Amino acid sequence: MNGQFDFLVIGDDEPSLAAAAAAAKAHARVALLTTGDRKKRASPASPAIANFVWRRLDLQDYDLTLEPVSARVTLLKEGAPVATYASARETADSLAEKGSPDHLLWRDFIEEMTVLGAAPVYAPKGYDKPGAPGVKAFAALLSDPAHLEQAARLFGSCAGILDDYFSDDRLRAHLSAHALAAGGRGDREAGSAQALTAFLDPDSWRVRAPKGGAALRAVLEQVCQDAGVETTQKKPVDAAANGKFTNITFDGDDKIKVKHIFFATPASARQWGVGEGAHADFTVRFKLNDKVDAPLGDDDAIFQVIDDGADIQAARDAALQGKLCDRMPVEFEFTGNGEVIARSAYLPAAFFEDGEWRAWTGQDRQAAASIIRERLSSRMPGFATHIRRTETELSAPPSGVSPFAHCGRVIIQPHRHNAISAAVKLIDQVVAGDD
Amino acid sequence: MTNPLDLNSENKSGNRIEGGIDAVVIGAGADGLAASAYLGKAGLRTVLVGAGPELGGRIAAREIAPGVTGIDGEHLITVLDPDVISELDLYRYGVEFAARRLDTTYFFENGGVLRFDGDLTQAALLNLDDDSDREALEAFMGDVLETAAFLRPAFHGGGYGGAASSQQRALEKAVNQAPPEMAARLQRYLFATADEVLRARFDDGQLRTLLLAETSFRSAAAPHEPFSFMSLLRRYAGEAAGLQGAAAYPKGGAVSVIDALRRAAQGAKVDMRAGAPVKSILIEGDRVAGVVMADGGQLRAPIVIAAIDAAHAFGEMIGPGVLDIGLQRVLTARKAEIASARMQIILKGVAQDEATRKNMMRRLVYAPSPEALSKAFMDARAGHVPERVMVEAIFPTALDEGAALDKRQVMSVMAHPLPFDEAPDDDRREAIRSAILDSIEMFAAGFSGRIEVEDLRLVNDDAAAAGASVAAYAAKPDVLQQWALASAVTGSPRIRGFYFCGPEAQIGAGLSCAAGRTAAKAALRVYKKGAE
Repeated sequence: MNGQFDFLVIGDDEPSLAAAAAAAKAHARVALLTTGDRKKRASPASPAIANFVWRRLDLQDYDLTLEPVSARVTLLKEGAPVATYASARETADSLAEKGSPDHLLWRDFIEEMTVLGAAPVYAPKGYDKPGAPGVKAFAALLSDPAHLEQAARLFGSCAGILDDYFSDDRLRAHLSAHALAAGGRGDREAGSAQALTAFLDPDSWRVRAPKGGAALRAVLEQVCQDAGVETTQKKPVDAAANGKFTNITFDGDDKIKVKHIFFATPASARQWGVGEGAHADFTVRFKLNDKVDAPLGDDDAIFQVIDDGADIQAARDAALQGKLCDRMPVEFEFTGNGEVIARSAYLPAAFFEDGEWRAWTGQDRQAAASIIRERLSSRMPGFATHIRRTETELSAPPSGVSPFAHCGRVIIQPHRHNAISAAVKLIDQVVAGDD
Repeated sequence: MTNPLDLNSENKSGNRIEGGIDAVVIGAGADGLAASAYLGKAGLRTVLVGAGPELGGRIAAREIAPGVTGIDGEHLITVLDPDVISELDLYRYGVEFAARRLDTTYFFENGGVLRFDGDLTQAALLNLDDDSDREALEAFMGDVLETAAFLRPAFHGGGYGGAASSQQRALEKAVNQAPPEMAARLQRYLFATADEVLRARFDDGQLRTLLLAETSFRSAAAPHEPFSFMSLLRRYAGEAAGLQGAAAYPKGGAVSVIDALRRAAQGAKVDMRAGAPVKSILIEGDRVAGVVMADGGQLRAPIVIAAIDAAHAFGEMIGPGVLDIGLQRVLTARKAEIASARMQIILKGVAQDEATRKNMMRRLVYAPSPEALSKAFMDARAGHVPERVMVEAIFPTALDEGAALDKRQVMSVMAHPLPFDEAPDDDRREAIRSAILDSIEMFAAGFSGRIEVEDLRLVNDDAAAAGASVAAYAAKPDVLQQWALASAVTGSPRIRGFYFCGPEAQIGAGLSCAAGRTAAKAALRVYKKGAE
């Protein structure tokens, strides 16, 4: 691959593919860098696709059907599972049935969170993106107490908001777990409230392809191809700023010039050693011998395992301190082909031992996988005996200097529950800004 | 039991109504004194009422050992509003600096030491081994000092009745017209975590460690949280003795600033009344009408400035019935988690050599490693006393000739972060005491053996002395939350003639008086408009 591009999109998850396709459809020249080692295997549920993304990518022309996951379930250490559903009414009814004192508040809560989440977002959308609207919005923000209050709540803590609404500890723990687990945040730290409002956005409800249907990733790869995205799997070795462009050299001496380097998720950026590097994502795929009964008998749901609400901040703190936390929140789901995919974002990016930071080792992976297996076994007795094979995937910053460390024009989409729509929106903004 | 109908009770001012007053200022701390001096100077007949037996609030002189006076509250001047100094003529009223632009010596966990010039623009001239570090520091200090100065108006706080103050309008205009470089910088810094910014600039060296410490000192925002970098901009937006980002020691300690403010208020013919607690603020229709004293008397005035904590001012004196929901939510949503502590230590002996003597004339900072600092924040937030804390130490007896003692030294220490306690028990005090002493031992090995007296002062002690709610003296959250709080307490009550300049109106820690000035100016603007 050689030549000049508007974007180099790096990553092969759904948000990266969608962003690359969207930019190419807007007549930008797009190169896509994938790792290429992704085997054919079942995908976990992905964020929903907003209507505007369907239209932007003409997804109706492809054979794509998606089904929403049935429920979000939290398996606490004690008591019955807590579940919420895509429909506010269903959730309120279920809470009422379980005797939660907060069922009357649910719909108001969802409404108010929608308003709060729709507030103008003042945070910069990407790193070092010139001319972004952040500064003007900031000026307006400072002069309006109502805006300020809203911004302070939105960028305050998740626990702060939940304490304000609900008295039911279990419901609060459930919401924090599902809202924060994907980004590995703590419920008491500043900025976590935004993840809560984003989680409650309808576009954040996760979806997956029905059994036998085309996988979303495969469809998006096709869309990219049809839109003229050029794909490479060669490893970039150097990136150097050159006026408005960045010169990127790949293994095997391919060279391209790009205007923007674009990461659609923090996880894909992290693998290249850029962006926020405070924690790692760790995924374990358990291939099973035979069928395991899902909690609540619902194998379409997404499950969180935490002992109680305090686990979330404790696990975050441990990750920031470079430690494994044996009470880390774990999210898991069943796939169609007899697998359980479990993941946690509460792992350290690197380990801090004896006053030194060190990178992940094989033993650390084993230790992390075994904690996750234990967490699942504790909620599904006998789970471990059904495991045939275990595969792990780690998204942690590599050791050594990132090839992108010193080039300015890197755009990284922060963690979003509606990662696909957010990535498309962001790349659209950059395309518009270039005109 | 007193009989309410007994007209011969001891109550002196009992049901007396006092009129002919233009303004009442509640609270005799630094901001109350400054606000009343401004009003008095403008010719308003102003009454300042303080609840305690003395004027001055939490910054006060106190005998910490027989014959040795310590200063509670603050031990350095870093953010004192230069406009207050010049407009109230504080130099004429007695503010004098015994030591200005204090150099800082930083001590690190690994035994490393680094000295910063008191003039931060000179900091980059440091004798650093690594050229790239020096260049990085020079560029960074340039960026940060310029950005901090640019944002200075934003740190004065105060919305006042929804109408943006002239300062805010000026800031808005400035931000909107910021040159592209400044705009890009603002955008990078405003929402960033300190960790992120400093890591990108300095990798893993001592510079990152010391700047992380400066950033999070006295703040409740941990350096890995969003907006935490703003804390450093806030700190470096301040001025001491005419130098941005510097620290100065006034002759007689911080209490001398309070004394000067009191003299300025006196000079402005402010009627100052100590031992005069206020029970409630009178509101008639949509405007303030004066205050009701605890003894039943009334002071009627068209302007009331509350320079006390928000819980007292809004919760008790105004009452929740009048407040809008936004303000109530902001006031109840606050949960204090982190606080700083003061310790004054009398040490036996004198400096034996010139190097020690020189070091005692500096500001000494113990900067734990970034990992230890994060952990300290996590521990404190979880309600535990961290093993190691940041320490800022100065020697008033060495800095201020007037304070020198015979064969003894006073070391004044501020430590951070510590868990916030409404009412700490003896075990907690002991744990804090030993965490502070252990942290000092990290850079002054063996110093514990020279301790003659130590005096630990926690926020609840300060609050008790000033008659304030303890939470008002907790460490402040990130700057965005502070802006929201400041704007809510100064802007949303929508009671005409009422202004607020308590601790919640101030952005950041330190003796500033900017909130008092802003409140008084807002009051004067409206007063003059009414008089025309």
